[in-house]
Amino acid sequence: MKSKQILMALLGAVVVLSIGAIAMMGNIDEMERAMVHITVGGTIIDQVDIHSSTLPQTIEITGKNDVHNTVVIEDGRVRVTKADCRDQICVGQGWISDGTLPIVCLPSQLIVEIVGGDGDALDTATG
Amino acid sequence: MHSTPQRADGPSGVRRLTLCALLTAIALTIFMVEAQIPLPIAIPGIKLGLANIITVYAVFILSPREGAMILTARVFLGAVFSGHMSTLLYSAGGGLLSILCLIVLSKFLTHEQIWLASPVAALCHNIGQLLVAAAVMQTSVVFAYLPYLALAGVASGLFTGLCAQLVIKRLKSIGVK
Repeated sequence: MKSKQILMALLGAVVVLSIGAIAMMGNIDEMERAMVHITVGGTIIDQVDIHSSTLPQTIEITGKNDVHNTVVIEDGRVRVTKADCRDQICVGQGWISDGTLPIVCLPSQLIVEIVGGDGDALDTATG
Repeated sequence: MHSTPQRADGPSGVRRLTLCALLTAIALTIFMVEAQIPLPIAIPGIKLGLANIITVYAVFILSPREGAMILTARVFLGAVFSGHMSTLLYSAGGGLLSILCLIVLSKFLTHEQIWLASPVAALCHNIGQLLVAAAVMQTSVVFAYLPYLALAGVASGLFTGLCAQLVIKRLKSIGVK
């Protein structure tokens, strides 16, 4: 009879701990969701939580070849608003809100991408 | 109502061998049928584990040795027949830990408490699974699955445990063991 009670207590504890752990992990998951990575020439120069409370945020970047870009991060999305190069492809791409396609500016070797969280739309879709 | 199984000697050895083969076949059938049931949960490693009704029955009513043999045969043949050889390593890791747990539990649980052994063994199975996964993928991140697997394991383990309890009770009442 005694072993029965010990086992039942053990199982109860496991269930309670699991529920607690899942609840806690849910919060961590929330916090670690979707970061904006800003990369120049292959090195990350800035990382911003896309749901951070300090948004909207404007970041001025001096990239390679003395090309300047302006990156604007709002809650859940990011875009390049200004680039002093001639093609303006990164500006033309507009807002991105998931990890499917990063914004790339070739003249300044700037890459703005969303990493992690629900943002990896392509990863989910392609499994 | 024999609570201690008779030893496998002489002519009864053939009987026991046949019984083991029969139980393996039943377990394998349950395993294959269960593999066809889609689960609404997308977490790898979660399943009902109905075939473990047989494992629990064998360990408690026959002997730990025969239970382990039936489980080994079922895990290996299950991987062969279901075509998922890649999952064999995970099943083997989980199976090993859970059968050890079952055998230990069978030493001090009465036949009325068998239903309790199954969820504990299921938990051990989950831990074994994750240990193998961690070794294969060289990362301990997989242990983030543990709470989910543990919850599912306790639930499905209770279910299979109660099923095994019921099976044993019915078989006893018709005079089989």
